[in-house]
Amino acid sequence: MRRDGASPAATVGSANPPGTDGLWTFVFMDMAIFLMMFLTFMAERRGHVDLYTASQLQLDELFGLANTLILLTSSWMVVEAVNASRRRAAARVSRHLGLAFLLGLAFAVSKLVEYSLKLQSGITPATNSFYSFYFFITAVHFLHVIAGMICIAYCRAHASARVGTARFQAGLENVGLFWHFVDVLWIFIFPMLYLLGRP
Amino acid sequence: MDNETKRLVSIAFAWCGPLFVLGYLAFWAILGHNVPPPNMMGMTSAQLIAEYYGKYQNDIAIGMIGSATLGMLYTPWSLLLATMLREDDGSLGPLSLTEAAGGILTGWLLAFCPAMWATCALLANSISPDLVRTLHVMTWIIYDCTYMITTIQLAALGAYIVLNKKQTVFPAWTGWCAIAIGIAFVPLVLMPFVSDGPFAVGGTWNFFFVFAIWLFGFQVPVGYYMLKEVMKHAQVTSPVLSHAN
Repeated sequence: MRRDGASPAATVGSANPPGTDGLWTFVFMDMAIFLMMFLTFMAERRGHVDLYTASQLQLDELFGLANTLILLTSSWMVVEAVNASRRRAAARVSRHLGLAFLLGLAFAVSKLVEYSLKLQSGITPATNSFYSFYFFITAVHFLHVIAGMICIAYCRAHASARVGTARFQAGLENVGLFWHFVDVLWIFIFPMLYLLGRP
Repeated sequence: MDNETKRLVSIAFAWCGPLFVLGYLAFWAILGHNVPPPNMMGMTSAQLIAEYYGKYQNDIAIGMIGSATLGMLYTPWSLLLATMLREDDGSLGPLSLTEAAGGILTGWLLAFCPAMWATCALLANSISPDLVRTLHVMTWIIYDCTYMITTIQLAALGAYIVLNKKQTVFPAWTGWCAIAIGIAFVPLVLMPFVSDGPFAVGGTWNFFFVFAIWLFGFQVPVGYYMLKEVMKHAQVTSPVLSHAN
Protein backbone atom coordinates (compact mmCIF):
# COMPACT_ATOMS: atom_id res chain seq x y z
CA MET A 1 0.00 0.00 0.00
CA ARG A 2 1.38 3.38 -0.96
CA ARG A 3 1.90 6.07 1.70
CA ASP A 4 -0.72 8.26 0.17
CA GLY A 5 -3.21 5.43 0.64
CA ALA A 6 -3.53 4.74 -3.07
CA SER A 7 -3.30 1.18 -4.23
CA PRO A 8 -0.92 0.45 -7.05
CA ALA A 9 -3.07 0.59 -10.15
CA ALA A 10 -4.85 -2.69 -10.71
CA THR A 11 -4.16 -4.38 -13.98
CA VAL A 12 -5.81 -7.34 -15.64
CA GLY A 13 -4.89 -10.40 -13.66
CA SER A 14 -3.41 -8.23 -10.88
CA ALA A 15 -3.74 -9.30 -7.23
CA ASN A 16 -4.50 -5.69 -6.26
CA PRO A 17 -8.22 -4.93 -6.13
CA PRO A 18 -9.24 -1.57 -7.61
CA GLY A 19 -9.92 1.35 -5.32
CA THR A 20 -8.12 2.75 -2.31
CA ASP A 21 -8.73 1.73 1.29
CA GLY A 22 -10.38 5.08 1.97
CA LEU A 23 -12.98 4.63 -0.74
CA TRP A 24 -13.75 1.06 0.30
CA THR A 25 -14.26 2.36 3.85
CA PHE A 26 -16.60 5.06 2.55
CA VAL A 27 -18.53 2.55 0.43
CA PHE A 28 -18.88 0.27 3.44
CA MET A 29 -20.17 3.09 5.64
CA ASP A 30 -22.55 4.26 2.95
CA MET A 31 -23.83 0.72 2.45
CA ALA A 32 -24.41 0.45 6.18
CA ILE A 33 -26.55 3.60 6.14
CA PHE A 34 -28.55 2.39 3.15
CA LEU A 35 -28.94 -1.01 4.78
CA MET A 36 -30.48 0.73 7.81
CA MET A 37 -32.86 2.57 5.48
CA PHE A 38 -33.86 -0.65 3.76
CA LEU A 39 -34.37 -2.48 7.05
CA THR A 40 -36.44 0.39 8.47
CA PHE A 41 -38.50 0.41 5.27
CA MET A 42 -39.13 -3.33 5.44
CA ALA A 43 -40.04 -3.13 9.13
CA GLU A 44 -42.54 -0.35 8.46
CA ARG A 45 -43.92 -2.20 5.45
CA ARG A 46 -44.67 -5.23 7.60
CA GLY A 47 -46.95 -3.11 9.74
CA HIS A 48 -48.71 -1.39 6.83
CA VAL A 49 -48.73 -3.87 3.96
CA ASP A 50 -51.96 -2.65 2.36
CA LEU A 51 -50.89 0.99 2.46
CA TYR A 52 -47.45 0.20 1.04
CA THR A 53 -48.83 -2.02 -1.71
CA ALA A 54 -51.44 0.56 -2.71
CA SER A 55 -48.86 3.34 -2.76
CA GLN A 56 -46.41 1.22 -4.72
CA LEU A 57 -49.00 0.65 -7.43
CA GLN A 58 -49.00 4.41 -8.00
CA LEU A 59 -45.34 4.26 -8.99
CA ASP A 60 -44.59 3.67 -12.65
CA GLU A 61 -42.30 0.65 -12.80
CA LEU A 62 -41.27 1.61 -16.34
CA PHE A 63 -39.42 4.60 -14.89
CA GLY A 64 -37.66 2.24 -12.49
CA LEU A 65 -36.80 -0.23 -15.25
CA ALA A 66 -35.52 2.51 -17.55
CA ASN A 67 -33.33 3.89 -14.77
CA THR A 68 -31.96 0.43 -14.08
CA LEU A 69 -30.98 -0.08 -17.71
CA ILE A 70 -29.50 3.42 -17.88
CA LEU A 71 -27.31 2.88 -14.83
CA LEU A 72 -26.19 -0.61 -15.90
CA THR A 73 -25.16 0.74 -19.31
CA SER A 74 -23.40 3.66 -17.68
CA SER A 75 -21.47 1.26 -15.43
CA TRP A 76 -20.43 -0.69 -18.50
CA MET A 77 -19.11 2.53 -20.07
CA VAL A 78 -17.04 3.20 -16.94
CA VAL A 79 -15.60 -0.33 -17.09
CA GLU A 80 -14.61 0.30 -20.70
CA ALA A 81 -13.04 3.60 -19.69
CA VAL A 82 -10.97 1.95 -16.92
CA ASN A 83 -9.79 -0.77 -19.31
CA ALA A 84 -8.91 1.86 -21.94
CA SER A 85 -6.95 3.80 -19.31
CA ARG A 86 -4.88 0.71 -18.55
CA ARG A 87 -4.04 0.54 -22.26
CA ARG A 88 -3.33 4.32 -22.22
CA ALA A 89 -5.98 4.94 -24.89
CA ALA A 90 -6.84 8.50 -23.87
CA ALA A 91 -9.39 9.16 -26.63
CA ARG A 92 -11.27 6.00 -25.76
CA VAL A 93 -11.21 6.92 -22.07
CA SER A 94 -12.72 10.32 -22.85
CA ARG A 95 -15.36 8.83 -25.13
CA HIS A 96 -16.53 6.24 -22.65
CA LEU A 97 -16.51 8.61 -19.71
CA GLY A 98 -18.52 11.04 -21.81
CA LEU A 99 -21.09 8.36 -22.54
CA ALA A 100 -21.19 7.38 -18.87
CA PHE A 101 -21.82 11.02 -17.95
CA LEU A 102 -24.60 11.40 -20.51
CA LEU A 103 -26.28 8.26 -19.24
CA GLY A 104 -26.01 9.60 -15.70
CA LEU A 105 -27.64 12.78 -16.95
CA ALA A 106 -30.43 10.71 -18.51
CA PHE A 107 -31.00 9.05 -15.13
CA ALA A 108 -31.12 12.45 -13.43
CA VAL A 109 -33.63 13.83 -15.94
CA SER A 110 -35.78 10.72 -15.66
CA LYS A 111 -35.79 10.98 -11.87
CA LEU A 112 -36.70 14.68 -11.94
CA VAL A 113 -39.54 14.00 -14.37
CA GLU A 114 -40.81 11.23 -12.11
CA TYR A 115 -40.64 13.49 -9.03
CA SER A 116 -42.41 16.24 -10.93
CA LEU A 117 -45.27 13.96 -11.98
CA LYS A 118 -45.69 12.78 -8.41
CA LEU A 119 -45.73 16.29 -6.97
CA GLN A 120 -48.18 17.47 -9.63
CA SER A 121 -50.54 14.68 -8.67
CA GLY A 122 -50.39 15.83 -5.05
CA ILE A 123 -48.05 13.12 -3.77
CA THR A 124 -45.35 14.48 -1.45
CA PRO A 125 -42.96 13.03 1.14
CA ALA A 126 -45.62 13.81 3.75
CA THR A 127 -48.40 11.85 1.98
CA ASN A 128 -47.68 8.65 3.90
CA SER A 129 -44.67 6.75 5.25
CA PHE A 130 -44.19 4.79 1.99
CA TYR A 131 -43.73 8.05 0.09
CA SER A 132 -41.52 9.45 2.85
CA PHE A 133 -39.23 6.49 2.23
CA TYR A 134 -39.61 6.70 -1.55
CA PHE A 135 -38.57 10.35 -1.72
CA PHE A 136 -35.85 10.02 0.94
CA ILE A 137 -34.19 6.88 -0.40
CA THR A 138 -34.33 7.91 -4.05
CA ALA A 139 -33.24 11.48 -3.23
CA VAL A 140 -30.17 10.31 -1.31
CA HIS A 141 -29.38 7.92 -4.17
CA PHE A 142 -29.91 10.80 -6.61
CA LEU A 143 -27.31 12.87 -4.71
CA HIS A 144 -24.88 9.96 -5.10
CA VAL A 145 -25.58 9.94 -8.85
CA ILE A 146 -24.82 13.67 -9.05
CA ALA A 147 -21.60 13.21 -7.05
CA GLY A 148 -20.60 10.36 -9.35
CA MET A 149 -21.30 12.45 -12.44
CA ILE A 150 -19.10 15.25 -11.11
CA CYS A 151 -16.26 12.78 -10.52
CA ILE A 152 -16.71 11.25 -14.00
CA ALA A 153 -16.67 14.72 -15.57
CA TYR A 154 -13.50 15.59 -13.66
CA CYS A 155 -11.75 12.42 -14.85
CA ARG A 156 -12.86 13.03 -18.41
CA ALA A 157 -11.56 16.61 -18.30
CA HIS A 158 -8.11 15.40 -17.25
CA ALA A 159 -7.98 12.17 -19.25
CA SER A 160 -5.98 13.38 -22.23
CA ALA A 161 -3.28 14.94 -20.03
CA ARG A 162 -3.04 12.26 -17.35
CA VAL A 163 -3.90 8.88 -18.81
CA GLY A 164 -1.00 6.55 -18.17
CA THR A 165 -0.09 7.98 -14.78
CA ALA A 166 -0.57 5.81 -11.69
CA ARG A 167 -2.41 8.61 -9.91
CA PHE A 168 -4.97 9.02 -12.69
CA GLN A 169 -5.47 5.27 -12.90
CA ALA A 170 -6.02 5.00 -9.14
CA GLY A 171 -8.42 7.96 -9.23
CA LEU A 172 -10.37 6.54 -12.16
CA GLU A 173 -10.64 3.17 -10.46
CA ASN A 174 -11.98 4.91 -7.34
CA VAL A 175 -14.57 6.70 -9.45
CA GLY A 176 -15.45 3.42 -11.16
CA LEU A 177 -15.84 1.68 -7.82
CA PHE A 178 -18.11 4.45 -6.56
CA TRP A 179 -20.19 4.41 -9.75
CA HIS A 180 -20.66 0.65 -9.60
CA PHE A 181 -21.71 1.04 -5.96
CA VAL A 182 -24.33 3.61 -7.00
CA ASP A 183 -25.52 1.13 -9.62
CA VAL A 184 -25.73 -1.74 -7.13
CA LEU A 185 -27.71 0.45 -4.75
CA TRP A 186 -30.29 1.09 -7.47
CA ILE A 187 -30.52 -2.63 -8.19
CA PHE A 188 -31.74 -3.03 -4.61
CA ILE A 189 -33.86 0.13 -4.55
CA PHE A 190 -35.77 -0.62 -7.76
CA PRO A 191 -37.34 -3.94 -6.72
CA MET A 192 -37.83 -2.86 -3.13
CA LEU A 193 -39.73 0.33 -3.96
CA TYR A 194 -41.26 -0.48 -7.33
CA LEU A 195 -41.83 -4.22 -7.51
CA LEU A 196 -42.19 -5.81 -4.08
CA GLY A 197 -45.72 -6.95 -3.50
CA ARG A 198 -47.01 -6.20 -6.99
CA PRO A 199 -49.45 -8.80 -8.24
CA MET B 1 0.15 27.98 31.98
CA ASP B 2 2.69 25.14 32.12
CA ASN B 3 2.37 22.09 29.89
CA GLU B 4 1.13 19.78 32.62
CA THR B 5 -1.66 22.16 33.50
CA LYS B 6 -2.62 22.39 29.84
CA ARG B 7 -2.74 18.62 29.67
CA LEU B 8 -5.01 18.46 32.72
CA VAL B 9 -7.35 21.00 31.13
CA SER B 10 -7.41 18.88 27.96
CA ILE B 11 -8.22 15.77 29.96
CA ALA B 12 -11.06 17.61 31.71
CA PHE B 13 -12.42 18.81 28.35
CA ALA B 14 -12.15 15.27 26.94
CA TRP B 15 -14.18 13.87 29.83
CA CYS B 16 -16.93 16.42 29.13
CA GLY B 17 -17.95 14.16 26.23
CA PRO B 18 -18.76 11.01 28.23
CA LEU B 19 -20.30 13.15 30.99
CA PHE B 20 -22.54 14.81 28.44
CA VAL B 21 -23.64 11.46 26.95
CA LEU B 22 -24.42 9.85 30.30
CA GLY B 23 -25.99 12.95 31.78
CA TYR B 24 -28.16 13.66 28.75
CA LEU B 25 -29.36 10.07 28.62
CA ALA B 26 -30.29 10.22 32.28
CA PHE B 27 -31.90 13.66 32.35
CA TRP B 28 -33.26 14.26 28.86
CA ALA B 29 -34.10 10.76 27.72
CA ILE B 30 -35.15 8.95 30.91
CA LEU B 31 -36.26 11.62 33.36
CA GLY B 32 -37.65 13.70 30.52
CA HIS B 33 -39.74 10.73 29.29
CA ASN B 34 -38.39 11.16 25.79
CA VAL B 35 -37.99 7.53 24.77
CA PRO B 36 -39.69 8.26 22.48
CA PRO B 37 -40.96 11.83 22.75
CA PRO B 38 -44.73 12.35 22.51
CA ASN B 39 -46.07 12.36 18.98
CA MET B 40 -46.81 16.07 19.01
CA MET B 41 -48.03 16.38 15.40
CA GLY B 42 -50.62 13.68 16.04
CA MET B 43 -51.84 15.01 19.40
CA THR B 44 -54.19 17.74 20.46
CA SER B 45 -53.11 20.31 23.02
CA ALA B 46 -55.27 18.66 25.67
CA GLN B 47 -53.68 15.26 24.94
CA LEU B 48 -50.18 16.70 25.20
CA ILE B 49 -50.99 18.04 28.67
CA ALA B 50 -52.88 14.97 29.85
CA GLU B 51 -50.48 12.35 28.51
CA TYR B 52 -47.15 14.11 28.90
CA TYR B 53 -46.64 17.41 30.69
CA GLY B 54 -49.43 16.98 33.21
CA LYS B 55 -48.64 13.31 33.82
CA TYR B 56 -44.87 13.67 34.31
CA GLN B 57 -44.62 17.33 35.27
CA ASN B 58 -41.94 17.12 37.98
CA ASP B 59 -39.85 14.53 36.15
CA ILE B 60 -39.84 16.57 32.96
CA ALA B 61 -39.07 19.85 34.73
CA ILE B 62 -36.09 18.37 36.59
CA GLY B 63 -34.97 16.38 33.57
CA MET B 64 -35.02 19.38 31.28
CA ILE B 65 -33.24 21.69 33.73
CA GLY B 66 -30.60 18.99 34.16
CA SER B 67 -30.32 18.69 30.37
CA ALA B 68 -29.99 22.47 30.03
CA THR B 69 -27.04 22.29 32.44
CA LEU B 70 -25.31 19.25 30.99
CA GLY B 71 -26.06 20.01 27.35
CA MET B 72 -23.40 22.69 27.28
CA LEU B 73 -20.71 20.08 28.09
CA TYR B 74 -20.91 19.26 24.39
CA THR B 75 -19.26 22.61 23.63
CA PRO B 76 -15.92 22.27 25.51
CA TRP B 77 -15.66 18.72 24.16
CA SER B 78 -16.15 20.00 20.61
CA LEU B 79 -13.63 22.80 21.14
CA LEU B 80 -10.99 20.33 22.35
CA LEU B 81 -11.75 18.30 19.23
CA ALA B 82 -11.18 21.42 17.11
CA THR B 83 -7.71 21.85 18.64
CA MET B 84 -6.87 18.34 17.42
CA LEU B 85 -7.70 19.28 13.82
CA ARG B 86 -4.78 21.58 13.15
CA GLU B 87 -3.15 22.44 9.84
CA ASP B 88 0.47 21.45 9.19
CA ASP B 89 1.68 24.81 10.48
CA GLY B 90 -0.26 24.38 13.75
CA SER B 91 -2.99 26.85 12.90
CA LEU B 92 -6.70 26.19 13.07
CA GLY B 93 -7.93 26.02 9.48
CA PRO B 94 -11.47 26.33 8.09
CA LEU B 95 -12.35 22.70 8.81
CA SER B 96 -11.27 23.02 12.44
CA LEU B 97 -13.14 26.29 12.87
CA THR B 98 -16.25 24.85 11.21
CA GLU B 99 -16.15 21.90 13.59
CA ALA B 100 -15.80 24.32 16.50
CA ALA B 101 -18.67 26.49 15.28
CA GLY B 102 -20.91 23.45 14.86
CA GLY B 103 -20.00 22.27 18.34
CA ILE B 104 -20.75 25.65 19.91
CA LEU B 105 -24.12 25.97 18.18
CA THR B 106 -25.08 22.36 18.91
CA GLY B 107 -24.16 22.84 22.57
CA TRP B 108 -26.37 25.92 22.71
CA LEU B 109 -29.26 24.00 21.18
CA LEU B 110 -28.80 21.08 23.55
CA ALA B 111 -29.18 23.50 26.47
CA PHE B 112 -31.67 26.03 25.11
CA CYS B 113 -34.36 23.62 23.93
CA PRO B 114 -34.59 21.71 27.24
CA ALA B 115 -34.99 25.08 28.97
CA MET B 116 -38.03 25.73 26.77
CA TRP B 117 -39.49 22.29 27.53
CA ALA B 118 -38.87 22.88 31.24
CA THR B 119 -40.96 26.04 30.85
CA CYS B 120 -43.74 24.00 29.27
CA ALA B 121 -43.66 21.51 32.16
CA LEU B 122 -43.57 24.12 34.90
CA LEU B 123 -46.45 26.14 33.41
CA ALA B 124 -48.48 23.19 32.07
CA ASN B 125 -51.29 23.67 34.54
CA SER B 126 -51.34 27.46 34.56
CA ILE B 127 -51.32 28.53 30.91
CA SER B 128 -53.48 27.55 27.99
CA PRO B 129 -52.82 24.06 26.57
CA ASP B 130 -52.59 25.56 23.08
CA LEU B 131 -49.75 27.80 24.23
CA VAL B 132 -47.96 24.85 25.81
CA ARG B 133 -48.28 22.87 22.57
CA THR B 134 -47.11 25.85 20.53
CA LEU B 135 -43.96 26.17 22.65
CA HIS B 136 -43.42 22.42 22.63
CA VAL B 137 -43.77 22.04 18.84
CA MET B 138 -41.75 25.19 18.12
CA THR B 139 -38.92 23.93 20.31
CA TRP B 140 -38.88 20.50 18.67
CA ILE B 141 -38.77 22.08 15.22
CA ILE B 142 -35.83 24.20 16.36
CA TYR B 143 -34.17 21.14 17.96
CA ASP B 144 -34.56 18.83 14.98
CA CYS B 145 -34.75 21.00 11.89
CA THR B 146 -31.55 22.92 12.61
CA TYR B 147 -29.70 19.61 12.27
CA MET B 148 -27.35 21.23 9.76
CA ILE B 149 -25.40 22.85 12.60
CA THR B 150 -24.37 19.36 13.68
CA THR B 151 -24.07 18.08 10.12
CA ILE B 152 -21.49 20.77 9.29
CA GLN B 153 -19.59 19.86 12.46
CA LEU B 154 -19.56 16.21 11.43
CA ALA B 155 -18.76 16.98 7.80
CA ALA B 156 -15.85 19.24 8.76
CA LEU B 157 -14.44 16.64 11.15
CA GLY B 158 -14.92 13.90 8.58
CA ALA B 159 -13.32 15.92 5.79
CA TYR B 160 -10.29 16.74 7.96
CA ILE B 161 -9.75 13.10 8.95
CA VAL B 162 -10.20 11.77 5.41
CA LEU B 163 -8.19 14.46 3.60
CA ASN B 164 -5.34 14.90 6.07
CA LYS B 165 -3.21 11.82 5.53
CA LYS B 166 -0.64 13.02 8.10
CA GLN B 167 -2.96 13.06 11.12
CA THR B 168 -2.65 10.04 13.39
CA VAL B 169 -5.24 10.70 16.08
CA PHE B 170 -8.36 9.39 14.32
CA PRO B 171 -8.56 6.33 12.04
CA ALA B 172 -10.03 6.98 8.60
CA TRP B 173 -13.23 5.08 9.32
CA THR B 174 -14.23 7.60 11.99
CA GLY B 175 -14.09 10.34 9.37
CA TRP B 176 -16.24 8.49 6.87
CA CYS B 177 -18.59 7.53 9.69
CA ALA B 178 -18.95 11.18 10.73
CA ILE B 179 -19.83 12.20 7.16
CA ALA B 180 -22.32 9.35 6.80
CA ILE B 181 -23.99 10.27 10.10
CA GLY B 182 -24.30 13.90 9.03
CA ILE B 183 -26.13 12.78 5.90
CA ALA B 184 -28.40 10.43 7.88
CA PHE B 185 -29.84 13.52 9.62
CA VAL B 186 -31.43 14.77 6.38
CA PRO B 187 -34.86 13.12 6.89
CA LEU B 188 -35.33 15.34 9.93
CA VAL B 189 -36.72 17.84 7.43
CA LEU B 190 -39.82 15.63 7.22
CA MET B 191 -40.50 15.72 10.96
CA PRO B 192 -42.82 18.74 11.05
CA PHE B 193 -44.97 17.35 8.25
CA VAL B 194 -45.71 13.80 9.38
CA SER B 195 -47.72 12.58 12.33
CA ASP B 196 -46.73 8.93 12.32
CA GLY B 197 -44.24 6.51 10.86
CA PRO B 198 -40.44 6.41 10.95
CA PHE B 199 -39.97 10.10 10.14
CA ALA B 200 -42.24 11.46 12.86
CA VAL B 201 -40.64 13.15 15.87
CA GLY B 202 -40.51 9.85 17.78
CA GLY B 203 -40.16 7.63 14.70
CA THR B 204 -37.77 4.76 14.12
CA TRP B 205 -35.50 6.77 11.86
CA ASN B 206 -35.87 10.38 13.00
CA PHE B 207 -35.58 9.59 16.68
CA PHE B 208 -34.12 6.20 17.50
CA PHE B 209 -31.70 5.80 14.58
CA VAL B 210 -30.57 9.43 14.36
CA PHE B 211 -29.92 9.88 18.07
CA ALA B 212 -28.37 6.44 18.45
CA ILE B 213 -25.85 6.90 15.65
CA TRP B 214 -25.04 10.47 16.72
CA LEU B 215 -24.28 9.35 20.26
CA PHE B 216 -22.79 5.91 19.63
CA GLY B 217 -21.51 6.21 16.07
CA PHE B 218 -19.91 9.63 16.48
CA GLN B 219 -19.48 10.72 20.09
CA VAL B 220 -18.33 7.40 21.54
CA PRO B 221 -15.64 6.50 18.95
CA VAL B 222 -14.41 10.07 18.46
CA GLY B 223 -14.45 10.64 22.22
CA TYR B 224 -12.47 7.44 22.74
CA TYR B 225 -9.69 8.54 20.38
CA MET B 226 -9.67 12.04 21.91
CA LEU B 227 -9.23 10.61 25.39
CA LYS B 228 -6.58 8.22 24.15
CA GLU B 229 -4.68 11.16 22.64
CA VAL B 230 -4.80 13.42 25.71
CA MET B 231 -4.01 10.55 28.08
CA LYS B 232 -1.06 9.51 25.92
CA HIS B 233 0.42 12.97 26.29
CA ALA B 234 -0.37 12.99 30.02
CA GLN B 235 1.52 9.71 30.49
CA VAL B 236 4.50 11.10 28.62
CA THR B 237 4.71 14.13 30.92
CA SER B 238 3.85 12.44 34.27
CA PRO B 239 7.22 10.58 34.68
CA VAL B 240 8.83 14.02 34.73
CA LEU B 241 6.53 15.16 37.52
CA SER B 242 6.88 11.98 39.61
CA HIS B 243 10.64 12.15 39.23
CA ALA B 244 10.61 15.77 40.42
CA ASN B 245 8.55 14.77 43.47
